[in-house]
Amino acid sequence: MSDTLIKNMTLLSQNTLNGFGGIGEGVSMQVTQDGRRIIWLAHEGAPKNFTGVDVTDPKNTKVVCQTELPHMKMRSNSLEVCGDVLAVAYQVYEKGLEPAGMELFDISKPEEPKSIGFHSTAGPHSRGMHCLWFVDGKTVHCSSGAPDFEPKHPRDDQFYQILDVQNPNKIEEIGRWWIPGAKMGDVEELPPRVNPEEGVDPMGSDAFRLHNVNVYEERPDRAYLGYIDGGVYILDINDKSSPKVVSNWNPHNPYPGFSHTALPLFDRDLIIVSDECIKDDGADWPKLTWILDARNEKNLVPISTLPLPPVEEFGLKGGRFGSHNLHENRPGPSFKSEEILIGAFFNAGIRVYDINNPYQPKEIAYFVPPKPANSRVNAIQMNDVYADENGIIYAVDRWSGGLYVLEMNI
Amino acid sequence: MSTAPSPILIYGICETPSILWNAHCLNLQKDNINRQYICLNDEPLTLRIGSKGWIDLKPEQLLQFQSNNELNAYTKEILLSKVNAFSRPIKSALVSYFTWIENECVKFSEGNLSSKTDVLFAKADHLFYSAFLPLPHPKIVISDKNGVFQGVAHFDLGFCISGKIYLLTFSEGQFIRKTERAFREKLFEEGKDKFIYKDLSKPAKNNGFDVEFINQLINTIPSLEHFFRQEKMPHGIYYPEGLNINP
Repeated sequence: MSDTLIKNMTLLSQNTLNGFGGIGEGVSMQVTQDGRRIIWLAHEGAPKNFTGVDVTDPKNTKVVCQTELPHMKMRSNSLEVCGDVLAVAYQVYEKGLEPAGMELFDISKPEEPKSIGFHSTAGPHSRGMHCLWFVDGKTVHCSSGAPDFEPKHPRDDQFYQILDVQNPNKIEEIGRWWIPGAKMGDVEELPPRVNPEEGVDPMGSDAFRLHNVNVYEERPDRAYLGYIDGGVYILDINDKSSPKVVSNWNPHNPYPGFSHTALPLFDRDLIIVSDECIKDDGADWPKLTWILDARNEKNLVPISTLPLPPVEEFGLKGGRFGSHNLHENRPGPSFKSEEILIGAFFNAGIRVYDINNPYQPKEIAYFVPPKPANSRVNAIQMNDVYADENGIIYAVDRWSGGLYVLEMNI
Repeated sequence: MSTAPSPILIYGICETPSILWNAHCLNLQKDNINRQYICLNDEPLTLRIGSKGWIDLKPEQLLQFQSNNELNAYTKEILLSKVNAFSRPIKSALVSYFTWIENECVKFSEGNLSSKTDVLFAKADHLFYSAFLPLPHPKIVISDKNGVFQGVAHFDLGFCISGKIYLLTFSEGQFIRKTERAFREKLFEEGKDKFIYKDLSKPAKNNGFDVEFINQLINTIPSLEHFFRQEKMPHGIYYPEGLNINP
């Protein structure tokens, strides 16, 4: 009997990626000049850097490329594809290590990615780059430390940076912003930390640093930031050299922190905000996905949250349970909807919601496979998700399950 | 033998269309045109801003208005209130449409009036009532042959003109659910002589007058442009009870 929980979805295939099925937060699609569809995946950790999978036939996917990291004390975690250029974020486990930052690859031949540029953000107080956003072929918006940035608290090292990548040989930082009070020397005081942990471990749970930043062609003058315990920031980036705060919305505390993604739905004046679950066994439940009324962008109002499955069923099932990455309606061969949301919810799998009535979002589909072989936890850990314009979903497991290709029957 | 009642077009904000369908089946709403839906029977239907039924103006409300312009503003406000708060393109479409018809009314009232035109009601603020009624969020109920509710086909903006139902969307590459596609296919297959569908580019978001949007709207529904060419013009939106005024 299958242990899979499934509603309004069909599993087309699974690819465990040559035994390296632990994938981070980078899933992006390329349509090659010869018409093939390649999904590019950033690995959760070493030894692998990134993997390209030919998904032209979604029922019969093939790994066409798998690359190695230079050493074991780093991860690539995040990537984005724009045309035939792949941008990969590099984060190290100990501050000061290299390479840390971002590398650009020419992937016009997917089997042979060719490095065409590198931007280092390594430094004595930097662990490099965690997440990046690259959709216009010109600009990378990212969360990274920097050689000249010393945070007051060691977990607050990654902040918003804007990189001009039009010339891959000469990548330039053209703008930056951090939450006032985070940098050594700032006169401002940071808000009280949410559930503070002792010590200086950069992986600790409390942080005032950037996780995701999203910028869309519909509003090129706005950046939407998930700033972990700082909540959501909307920045005016009309002048990229000097981003300015438009508004901030922060439910932490009383909620348990870690704002991750702020996804604007422009035609609906809504913003969807996910808070990342970061603890196993429901220890930081509830990690919610919020729907904000953004008709007045200076006064964001929460109006509902996406319904999660029962904590009694999933809380102790194994690993993390709660919100994480969302499909982000990015340009390209990408699913676009302002009424249907697709998210990765760790052990609650991939879940799809109808938010036609944003006051009462409805779950309309889900897919929760059994624990993949060789996983370090006792359940699936859906980490990220991407959907193409045909409604085909590409979902990834954090530890070993690799790539799951799904079709929505909605 | 089919027992299904005539189909209905629900307009405005509606979270649970089956409630209105059930009310329609029970004949709880006596009027063919009411403030929530329109019966699509076999009569050739034309809906103008001045048509009876879609708005319910009481005498005491009428007394609050000092001029037709105030009444027009109220009319626009009522129509805009039927747009979901989280549907910016539909609101922008209505704003552009209102601006356009007001401009057209001024142009026509300043030009040569037809011999058939009632001069008393040919000023721009009266001509406004002749414009075709925009229906935000039109939804056509799909039922089986026994009248059992199956679902609705959703659109963004609609017009009823000379028996044709124009249904417009502003989808621009947005994913359309299989159920929605199936309902639309069924609707257009069964009513190919009645329903005219077009997906338009979204109007600009700044709530101003988007001339490109109006041009594509007129290209799709040319009769919109000639709303004042008629023998009888609606004289307003107030229909006193007991008086039988048919525009």
